[in-house]
Amino acid sequence: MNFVPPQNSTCREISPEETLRLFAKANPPAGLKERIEIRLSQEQTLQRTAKASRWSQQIFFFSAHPRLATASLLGAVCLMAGFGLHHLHSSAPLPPPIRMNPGSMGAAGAIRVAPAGVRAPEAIAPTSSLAGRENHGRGVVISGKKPLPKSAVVPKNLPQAEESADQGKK
Amino acid sequence: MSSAQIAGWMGTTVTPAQEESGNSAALISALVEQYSTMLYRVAYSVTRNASEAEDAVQEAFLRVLRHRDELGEIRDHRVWLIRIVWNIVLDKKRRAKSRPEAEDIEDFSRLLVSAEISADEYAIAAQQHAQILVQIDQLPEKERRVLLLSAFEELSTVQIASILGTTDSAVRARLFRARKQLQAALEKQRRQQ
Repeated sequence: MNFVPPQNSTCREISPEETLRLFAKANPPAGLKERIEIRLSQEQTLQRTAKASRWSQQIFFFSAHPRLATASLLGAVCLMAGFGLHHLHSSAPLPPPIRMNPGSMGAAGAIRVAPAGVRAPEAIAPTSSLAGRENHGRGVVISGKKPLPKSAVVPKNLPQAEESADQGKK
Repeated sequence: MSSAQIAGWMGTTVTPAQEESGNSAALISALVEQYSTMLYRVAYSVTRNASEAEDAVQEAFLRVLRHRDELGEIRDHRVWLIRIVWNIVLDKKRRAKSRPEAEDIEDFSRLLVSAEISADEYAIAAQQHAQILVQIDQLPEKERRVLLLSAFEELSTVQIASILGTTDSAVRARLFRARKQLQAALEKQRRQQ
């Protein structure tokens, strides 16, 4: 705050620019930067303390309520186990079809499968409401290969099987 | 899960986040060192009060601390800081009750230091400056703000436009009008005296 006006200022009119320049050259009070730094470090300490107290509050809460903590933990474990089992079952392969000799005991309820495979129809009209999915059911063997899952799409050009599935039904 | 295990997680070595926090703290300290004086002068030009101007500068740097994550995105730190402190002092002025004008002039007159002039000359100079300030305060708000910021030679009209959120041409037009109106008001005052 040290502005020294010119010596002959009494005879001279001061211009607005001179007045405005007083602001531009005003010196701040001593120790301004130090006080700002102190204030900033206090604020940083406050922020760190607030963050730490949020953690300690959570720790205190769970240690004061051990049953709640245990129940939460068990619930989380069960949930994770459920997710894991669901994933395991969804990716498990389908069981192979049961091969039965025609006329044998239990053959009526069994899936008849021709040893050499059957020819899949070229176009299968979807019976379900799910458009675009071709459902071939379990146990349909094409060219002796493993049965396809329900959502499998069967290619149109297939080699003809030696025996058809109808022979198994006779 | 024990509290010791959780505390163990917290007791790690310096993480990238902590390292980034250290870098921003160093940058803020550098900004304080470089711009605190100028920010004080800008704040003082509006508040005309030393303690209020200092409060405004401190508040500005506190806001910088709270938004330290954005420091890397700022191109011109000086203009950014001036805009922050400018908005702070304008908010304070809006919310503050009207203060006796004599207090402002008394505080302002401390800017004048009688070195090689007599007490009379000092008094005359102080009176003239006070009269000019009164006329400046009676200018329309937009013109007054542009005029105050134009006192800082480091700021171009483009930078002043950025601080005020307007265009360069608007700043030039307002500056021209402000000087013209101020000159007319001072001439009228001198004729009356």
